[in-house]
Amino acid sequence: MSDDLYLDDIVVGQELPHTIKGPMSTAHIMRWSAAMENWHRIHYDWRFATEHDRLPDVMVNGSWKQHILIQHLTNWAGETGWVWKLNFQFRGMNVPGDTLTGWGRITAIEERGPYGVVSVEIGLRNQNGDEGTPGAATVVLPRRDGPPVPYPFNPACLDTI
Amino acid sequence: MQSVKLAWDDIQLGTETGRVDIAITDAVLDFYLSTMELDIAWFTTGAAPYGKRIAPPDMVPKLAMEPLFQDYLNGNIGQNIRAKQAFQFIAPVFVGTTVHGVGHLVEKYERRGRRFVTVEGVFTDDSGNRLVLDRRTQMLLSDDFNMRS
Repeated sequence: MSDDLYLDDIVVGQELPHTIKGPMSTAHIMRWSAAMENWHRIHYDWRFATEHDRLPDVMVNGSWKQHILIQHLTNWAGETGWVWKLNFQFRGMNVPGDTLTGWGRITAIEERGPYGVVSVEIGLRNQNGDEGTPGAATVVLPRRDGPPVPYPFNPACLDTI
Repeated sequence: MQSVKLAWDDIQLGTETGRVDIAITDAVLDFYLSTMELDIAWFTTGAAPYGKRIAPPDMVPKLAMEPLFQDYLNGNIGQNIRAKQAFQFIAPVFVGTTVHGVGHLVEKYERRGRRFVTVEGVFTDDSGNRLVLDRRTQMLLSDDFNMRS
C-alpha cells in the first residue's frame, strides 16, 4: 500500500503501480469458491466445465478478479484516498496457469471543493497481455495542505469550499 | 441446459431478488483475509484513520451474492454469467456491524442477440445508512433466452 497519496502527486496519464497475482492455480480457485460459498461447477468440476459448458478449463472466479481490481486501487489510494466508484466488464475468461496483472492509468482529474476526483482507467491483463476485465474507477484524494477525505465518505464533501 | 421458470416477458423490473443480513465478525473477516492473502493493517488490526477493523470494501457484496441475487436468478431465470459490474463504496464496514442487503431486478435488455438482466443490491447498517451499492449485469445462458439459436 502506498503511504500517503495526494492530489498534488498525480497527473493525467500517470500509470498506477501494477498488482500481480498468480499464476492462478486450482487451489486458489477452490479456496476462493469455499470462502464465497460459490459452488458453481465451472469453478471446480473440470469435466462439467469442459464437456457440459464447453469451456477451456475450470474458470477463475469473476469475483476473485473484481477483488484484485479493488485491492489494486485501494493499495494505490493508500490511507489518504477513498476508492469511491468502480465499474468493469467481464470480457475474457481466465483459467489455471494465468497470471493476472492489474494496471491503471489516470484519465482525468477534477478539482471539487478541497478535493480531487480522479478518474482512472483500469483492467486486468493475462500473461499474454490480453485485457479481460476493462473498467473505470473514481478515487477521491485530498490536497497535501487540505482537509482529509472524511470517514465515512460523504459525496456532499465534494461541494464544500 | 436447464429449463427456466420465467419467460423473458415475465421478468418484471422491480422484483425483489433477495434479502440477507450479514454479521461482520472478526472470524468472518479473518477467513476472508486468509483466502485473499491480505495483510493490510486497516483490515487486520484497525489502523488509522478508522480506529478499529474494517472489511475490504467488496467483501460484503461477495458474501451476499448468492442469497441476494444468484439464488433467484438461478432458480427463476436459469444459468447466467456476469457481464458487467459496478460498485459504490459509501462508508467503511466495521467489524461488529450487521449489514442488511436487499436486491432488486432493475433492468433487462437485449443486445447482439443476447439477453441480459441487471440486478442492484443496497447494503445498509442498522441505522439505515448506506454502506455499499452493487450493480451487476448477468448475461442469460439458457437456450430459452438465446436469440442466436
